[in-house]
Amino acid sequence: MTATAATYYDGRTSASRAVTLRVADGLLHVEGGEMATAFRLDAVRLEPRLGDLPRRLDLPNGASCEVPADFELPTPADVPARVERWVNEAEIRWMPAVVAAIVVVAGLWASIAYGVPAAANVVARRISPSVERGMGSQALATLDRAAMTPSKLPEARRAELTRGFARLAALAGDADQLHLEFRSSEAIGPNAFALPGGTVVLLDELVAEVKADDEIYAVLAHEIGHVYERHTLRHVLQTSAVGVLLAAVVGDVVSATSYAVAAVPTFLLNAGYSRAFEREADQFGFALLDRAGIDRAHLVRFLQRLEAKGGGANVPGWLSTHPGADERSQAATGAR
Amino acid sequence: MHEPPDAVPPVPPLPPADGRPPLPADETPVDPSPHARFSPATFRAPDAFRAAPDLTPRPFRFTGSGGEYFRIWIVNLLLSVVTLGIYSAWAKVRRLRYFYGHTSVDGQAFGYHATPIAILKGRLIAYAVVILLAALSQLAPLLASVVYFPLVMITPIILVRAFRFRAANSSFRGIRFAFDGLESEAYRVFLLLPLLVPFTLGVLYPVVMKRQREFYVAESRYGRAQFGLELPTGAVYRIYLLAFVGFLVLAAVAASVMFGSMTAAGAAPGAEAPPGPAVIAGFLLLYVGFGAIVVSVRTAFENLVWNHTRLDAHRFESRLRGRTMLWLYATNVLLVAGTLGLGVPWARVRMARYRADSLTLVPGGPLATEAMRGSESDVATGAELSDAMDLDFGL
Repeated sequence: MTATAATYYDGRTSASRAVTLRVADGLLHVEGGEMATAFRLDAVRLEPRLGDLPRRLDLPNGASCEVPADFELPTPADVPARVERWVNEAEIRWMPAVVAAIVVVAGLWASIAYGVPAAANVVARRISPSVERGMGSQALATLDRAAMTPSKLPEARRAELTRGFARLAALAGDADQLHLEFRSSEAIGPNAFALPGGTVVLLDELVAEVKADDEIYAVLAHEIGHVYERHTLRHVLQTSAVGVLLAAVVGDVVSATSYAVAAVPTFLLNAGYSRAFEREADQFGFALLDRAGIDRAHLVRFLQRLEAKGGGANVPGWLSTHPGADERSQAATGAR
Repeated sequence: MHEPPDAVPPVPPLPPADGRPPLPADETPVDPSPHARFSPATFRAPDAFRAAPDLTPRPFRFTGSGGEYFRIWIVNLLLSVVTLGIYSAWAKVRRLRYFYGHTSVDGQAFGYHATPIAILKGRLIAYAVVILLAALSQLAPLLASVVYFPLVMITPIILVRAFRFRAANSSFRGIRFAFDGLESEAYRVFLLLPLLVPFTLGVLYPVVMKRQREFYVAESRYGRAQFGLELPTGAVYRIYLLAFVGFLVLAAVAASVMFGSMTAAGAAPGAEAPPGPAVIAGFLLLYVGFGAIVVSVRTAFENLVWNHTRLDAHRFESRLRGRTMLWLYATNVLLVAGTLGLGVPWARVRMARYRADSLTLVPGGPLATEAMRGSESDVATGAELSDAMDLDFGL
């Protein structure tokens, strides 16, 4: 084998010396100036190749040699070394890099659009309802402290609405899980929402806003959909999974940049997931309303009125957490 | 989750001047850099006549390229994803070797020595802890805080081990770096002092930053050569005071943009009003302005740290310019966002190049030393746990 010029560092001083490396009789001979040493080939370790960078050859005496990138030892490579040699072959060409980029982008998109929601759905349905009830009661307590006051609706009115809700719940087939709470909140406004575990909160402001009770039931049917489909839990699971996924992919970006950059796609993805859940809840709600003999149009009408009142929300669809009223109205008529 | 990916390795590496021990008889001293790839002109001093050491400043250099690093990055990313993260330990070693190997001073590049298996072990533990915590905090917040407490309590130990691992696996001219910081001191600067910050209404914060950085740098050594860092307290306070004033101005401007428009529109309070363009503009202003302040603080602090760092008789000069750093960060954000993340490698290479180009070693004597023999822990748990928990911070 021909001799290779290398730079020798003894590991104790920062001085370097020029040496030549030669392999003969199963030994690596290191020679330079007054130095002449030999090492067994199985005792030296050659750093895997990385582009054009010189490689480090670790010697058993704590010394090392800097060798040219294309230097190779005649010893058979073990599996990790063979893998890294193959990786290096891929790294130095553009074709594999372009293919890798396409696969990574397509794979990421597919897992965010389909993989993560499907997995979250499976996992959520295996988590005990008691866990969800725990989450729900905590959320209710937090909201009570921060934004909500007791309902000012008369007792009779509340009893009437509770009866209507119970009828829907019985039709949904989950009557003992579902439970209606009354609250008031200026800060939240005309709204109703479902908490994980089966509690649906109806705000006085919404009751004051409607033109007919069927509009309230339409909204409640939609909220029952959220409960039935376990949306809160699935949303938590999906956003955590996407967070881990994005962190793994852009995790090695320049720190400050990565936070600034990652916040935006995370926000958009969460909004996208949220819209998908709203559509699912709409579908569930429409089916429930059909069974209860309530016109689907009540939900659509109520939403359109809210939207009009909001002063024509100028938020583009892809930024919003809810589908637009137009889309939801089309869904109501289309999917009948 | 982020290494300081910057080309400049954790600890500035340079052989010290004085106290050069006698060389073993069989090894004659040789020219420090006969095979230098980018070496400034050096001359071989005759043995009998030791000439005055060459004291010309040695600039740092970064020679990596965005295109080359992109190919390395994407191939390794794909392999990491396909192997469900197992390969990521190998990917990390290749990434750091690329940045270390392309960073040089005095014509010599840095070396990174960690074994992927050591990193993988730590990484598995770290991700298990992070996933457990994330799941617990959603499903059982009370239990999560019970688990979280001991984790916070051991943070200083994790940090010290991370520093130790990183230093022990970095080398220059065949000599390793080392970190000798004690856990007890780490508890003081990373747990005790930060706990006092809220009670002083944040006034203590600059002192905490100063002490943490001093601990990190001054407990590091290169072979036998000890690093030293004593930051002037006044200069540290000046940086954070300016940032504080900047933030007040920013908050005032953003608030006037947001609330000025709100009252003008006469929106009823409590109504679920959609965010108007002025509110969005206000938030955008806050977001961008806050980012700019953070970048400015970091730049000023980084310069201050380097300019007060000593390595035996040698010192460093860092001339990062705030304007250039802001430009780099801003264009990097656009680059990464506009390419759906694929521009990340170019962003990192640009940053590494500017950082290296701004850094100079100023020798105070001859650049040669004998390394100290030290124990090298091969357990990567410390490095990886802090990695995954975002506790990693670098010089």
